[in-house]
Amino acid sequence: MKVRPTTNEPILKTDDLRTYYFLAEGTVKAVDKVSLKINEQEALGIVGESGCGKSTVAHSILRLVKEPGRIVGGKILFEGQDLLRISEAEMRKIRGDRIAMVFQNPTSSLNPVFTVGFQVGEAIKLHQNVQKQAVEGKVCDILAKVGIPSAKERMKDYPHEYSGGMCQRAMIAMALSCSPKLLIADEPTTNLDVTIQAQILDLMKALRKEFNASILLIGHDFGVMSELCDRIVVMYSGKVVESGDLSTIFRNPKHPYTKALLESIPSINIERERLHVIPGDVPGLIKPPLGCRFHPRCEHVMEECKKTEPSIIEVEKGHEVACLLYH
Amino acid sequence: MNSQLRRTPEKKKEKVHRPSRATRIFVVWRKLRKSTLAIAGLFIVVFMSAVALLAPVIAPYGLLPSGSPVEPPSMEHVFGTDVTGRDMLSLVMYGARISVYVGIAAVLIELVIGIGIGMIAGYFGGIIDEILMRITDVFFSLPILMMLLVAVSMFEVRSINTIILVMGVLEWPFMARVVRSGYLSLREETYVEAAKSMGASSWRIMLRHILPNILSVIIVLATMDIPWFILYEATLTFLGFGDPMSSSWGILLENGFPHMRTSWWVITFPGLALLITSLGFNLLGDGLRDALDIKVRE
Repeated sequence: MKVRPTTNEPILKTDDLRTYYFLAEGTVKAVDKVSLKINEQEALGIVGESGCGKSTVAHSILRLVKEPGRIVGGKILFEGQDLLRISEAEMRKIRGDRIAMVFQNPTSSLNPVFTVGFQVGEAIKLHQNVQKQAVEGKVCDILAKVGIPSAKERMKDYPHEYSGGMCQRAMIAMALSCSPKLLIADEPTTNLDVTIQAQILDLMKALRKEFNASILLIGHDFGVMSELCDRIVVMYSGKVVESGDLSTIFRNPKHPYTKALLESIPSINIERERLHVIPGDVPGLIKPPLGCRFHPRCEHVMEECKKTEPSIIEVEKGHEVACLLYH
Repeated sequence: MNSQLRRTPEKKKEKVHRPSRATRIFVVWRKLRKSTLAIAGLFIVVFMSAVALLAPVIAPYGLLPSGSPVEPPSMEHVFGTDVTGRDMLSLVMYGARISVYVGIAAVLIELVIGIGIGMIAGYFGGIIDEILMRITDVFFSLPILMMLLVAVSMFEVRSINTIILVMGVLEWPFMARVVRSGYLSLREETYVEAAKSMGASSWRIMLRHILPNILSVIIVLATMDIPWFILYEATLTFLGFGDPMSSSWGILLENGFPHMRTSWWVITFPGLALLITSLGFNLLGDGLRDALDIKVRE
């Protein structure tokens, strides 16, 4: 697998980011001291089970965490600017223009009462000072770029006249319409057919080259991740447990959770009677287990794991793990 | 994943066979046309509006006495004449102007307040919602007719516009509740989130992205509220709290009431006009509810 050369200047960096949900039953620490960085033109993947806080990271970056959630601490540095310290109006200027997002449900991400072309033009209208006719031209161009056939006519269609894959293409067009520096894709292929998934991933790969954007890809599917990402961050229960280059994570996973995740991928090469499963469930985040949060499900659990929370350490260059096995 | 599955979308220009471009309004019209009652309602509404607009042109006489007092219906005065010798048909026609104007103007006020409050309460939620909805509850619990009487009698000069204003200001709570519930559920939609992620402001999302999605409910509600306003105005006027200078149907009823036993036509025709108009708006509203609802199939 080739690794794209990247500059060392991170375009986005989170520092001890903490986003909590304040429920009546208690506080859910959905994102607990997460530090990660995305370099210029790099594609970073965040992998984890449902409820591990990966989507909350994405929403926190755009400051779109829903009630009763709140970002309680940390820093989000985007191009050197702390996004948590700027006003809502300044944040709006960044959303859609410099950071854009693609969502999980393409068909419900489009407003049923407007034509696709009209909606794709929204970001252009919001962020760029262009004439009405020019917006239409731009929308048509970008829809053609994401592979909508006869874009000029189909932009006048309503979302229900589009297939799921086409809706996702339109969403990507909308996100890219202002040439953002960072594209956040929250499970962009989860609700699509496998063949359409492949097409969308191909499209994202091609567009990444064309637009020179960094990508933050959220997902649970290592297969999807391996198609697009340069680096992988594995999250478990609101915390980063391992991060490293794609090839490092695949060939030399260190954390027992990452290993288990990789073993649970179905493979056509290896004969196996049953697919490997990780026993247990993601722990409730209101009262997470003491010590290492993965210890109740871990194969290599030690006495110490139940008491000490492992800090994240670098085991080799660019490969960090939070596990007591390597301390 | 198998690389054979990959195929970038074909670039060749394909011929798209598309059905005739039925716009939303056309679809609604097609559904509306199926219901005889709705069409009857639409006909009444259009007819009454036309009469109201064209009253000065089509009314056989003006608003001045044109015959002897209390003449029964005849070829000259189809609806008879009133106590001062004015032509009833002309009076009813001019009355339509007032009534239709009252209905539409009061509904516009109701819409502005109701949508405004419902939208803000439903979209922002939390403490804002709580405060606005408790205010709404207070307005909702007031006996409307009595409040109208009290409010109208506070004005020394009762013009038709003060009556409209008072009705609009007192009648918005139901609209606000309906609008709020719409916003409450639609604000959770992914397309709202997507709009936010594109950098749209709260106001833009409320007015541009969500409002069109609940417009059909609002249209139906507004259509069905118009007859209420017309009836309230007539009631107020009949009870002597109206604008004595206007020639609304309520005034005609009030003036004709003492002569009801001897000359039936002085109150029957304005009464019928009131009944038919209110029926028309209600039928149209009912039909629109079905026609605008995408769940009700053609």
